[in-house]
Amino acid sequence: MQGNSIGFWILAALCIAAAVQVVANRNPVRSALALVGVMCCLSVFYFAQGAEFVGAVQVIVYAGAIMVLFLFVIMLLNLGAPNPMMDRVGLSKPVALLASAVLLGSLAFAGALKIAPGRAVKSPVSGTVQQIGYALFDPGRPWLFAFELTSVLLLVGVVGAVVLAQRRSD
Amino acid sequence: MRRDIDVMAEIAFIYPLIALWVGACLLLLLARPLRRATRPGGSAALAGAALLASLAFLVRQGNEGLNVIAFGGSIAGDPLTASICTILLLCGMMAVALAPTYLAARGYDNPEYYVLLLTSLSGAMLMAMARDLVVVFLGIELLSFGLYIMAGFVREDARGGEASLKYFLLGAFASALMLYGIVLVYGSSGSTNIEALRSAVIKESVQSAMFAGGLALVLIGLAFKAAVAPFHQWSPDAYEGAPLPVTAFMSVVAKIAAFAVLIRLADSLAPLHATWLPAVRLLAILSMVVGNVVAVAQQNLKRMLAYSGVAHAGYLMVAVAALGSSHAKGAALDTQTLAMSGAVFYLLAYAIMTMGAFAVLTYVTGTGAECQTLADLKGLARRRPAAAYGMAALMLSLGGVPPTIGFMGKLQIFWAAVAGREMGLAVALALVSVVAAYYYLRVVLTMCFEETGAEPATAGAPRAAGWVVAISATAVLVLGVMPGLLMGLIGMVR
Repeated sequence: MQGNSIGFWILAALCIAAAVQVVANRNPVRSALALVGVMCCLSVFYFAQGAEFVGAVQVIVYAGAIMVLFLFVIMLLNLGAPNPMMDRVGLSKPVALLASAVLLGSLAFAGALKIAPGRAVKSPVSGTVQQIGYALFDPGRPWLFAFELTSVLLLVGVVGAVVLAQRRSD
Repeated sequence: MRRDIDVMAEIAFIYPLIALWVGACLLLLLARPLRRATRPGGSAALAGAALLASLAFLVRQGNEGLNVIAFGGSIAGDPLTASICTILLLCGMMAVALAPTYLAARGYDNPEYYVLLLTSLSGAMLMAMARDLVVVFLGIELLSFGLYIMAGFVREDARGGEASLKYFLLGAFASALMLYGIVLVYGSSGSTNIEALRSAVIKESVQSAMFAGGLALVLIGLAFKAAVAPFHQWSPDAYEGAPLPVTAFMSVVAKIAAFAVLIRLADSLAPLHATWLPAVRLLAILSMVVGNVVAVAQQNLKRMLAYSGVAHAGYLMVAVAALGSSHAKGAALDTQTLAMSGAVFYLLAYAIMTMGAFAVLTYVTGTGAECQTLADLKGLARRRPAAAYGMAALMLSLGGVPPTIGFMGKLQIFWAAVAGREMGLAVALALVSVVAAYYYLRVVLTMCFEETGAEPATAGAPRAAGWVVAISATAVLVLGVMPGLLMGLIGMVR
């Protein structure tokens, strides 16, 4: 087993453990911090794949900005203390467990049969800013349009936030 | 130099979208004067103008727009795209007409509503244009963001907020599933372009479990947006809580856009149908049965129409299954055309019928409390005869009674199912239609034969909503007798 494959498995185990904590921990602040852990692990994966830019963005934007926002919201709403949000168990828990077991089982099955990962995507030589720029902004490639579309999406998000937060007009 | 000319042609292809976006930006820029205007309806007029401009661009493209491939193959035009976009724009106009009086009565006739409506509609049109799963996803998000917020637009109404939040949480979950599906598809095939996927499937280079699983998740995401059972649980609550004009818009536009993508996938990824078809058949049967049976028990008309929407999604899934099946069995091209034009015809029929039914409710609501239960319609034939007759025509059409467009639509899907050798689905379609007739007819009976002490209403009926009722009720009858009128729009689907 090669060195970087050992690294992958250690990180993968860490990442999944953190992801489980996000869902399982009763304390929202700890869940959010566990999510930071997931983001950081993901970013290491990106670095390992040679996508440095995406890896850095993952840390700066997600682990940094967005998670801080999450924490602000949690603290602003005073959700820091354990709350009864998981008390409603009923039928949903066994069903959810069953569903995740099926998903896990089928993924493991696919892995065991070497079906996944199937046709490996040709990984980029290196994820430099320049290459991503060419990929995003070359009008001959499909990503320019998608990129521009996200700007409309962001505008709608802003308008929506204002609509939901503003006072009633007279 | 040639490159520049190409880019301009590609941009010309999305003029219909740009018209909507420019309209939205103008509404935002003029928000202040529009809010201060003494007469309501200024924003609606501007939004209507944007929709008309968009339609004009679409019509002007004509046949040139039918074989454009733009932006590196991420969007393209073909007859299916053109007809779906036309239907969507017509729905948008009707939805705009329903809004001003209703919202003004609640103090919410704000320009932002129309901004969200226009961008939402542009998302739906993008889904019809998309040839790349990434654009499909962005289209879905653009469509849904607007719908989430519009559902909670009247903020004093607690149920509107509940509807908005429920729709948002479940919708975000479905989007995440779909995105995961797209990732799996990309991971196993190396592309998100539908054409590239098609050729990969034909070459059988990606028959992996991962690819099939990814497509299954994409199917689930679309089924959620189209409110296909068992992914319909959000729809009754969201429909009931959202303001009436929003319910009208969301019930029609989201379904049309999701089915545009489903039809495209069924058509493009044809050789995969051995694994795909059973799922589509199951969804079709479940939707038809769940929608029709649960609708019988509803006293609230918005909930009833939500379940009826689930049932209609089931009929449309029959058409999708027939399309896939005729591909899988290598049937003649005209069998596929039959299924495809049947589906588009039914989408148009569904749009007119449902939009019209909600228009009647908006019309009767006027500036007062929302008319949404069966009891609210008691004696409508005496109070507002014109609205009651319109509603009767629309209900008969939804129930698939001849000579209405609903009947013609069902007939076309039935034919397509028979031609595509989907006998089981064809029989199921016929059987559930009998159940469906019951609850639609109950509405008619309530309007005509049950009386209340309420006096005949005189004032407060919104004229624009009245026009929508009149136009849709007329269209339902005229097109039911002469469906050939639509062949210009539908017949060119292939």
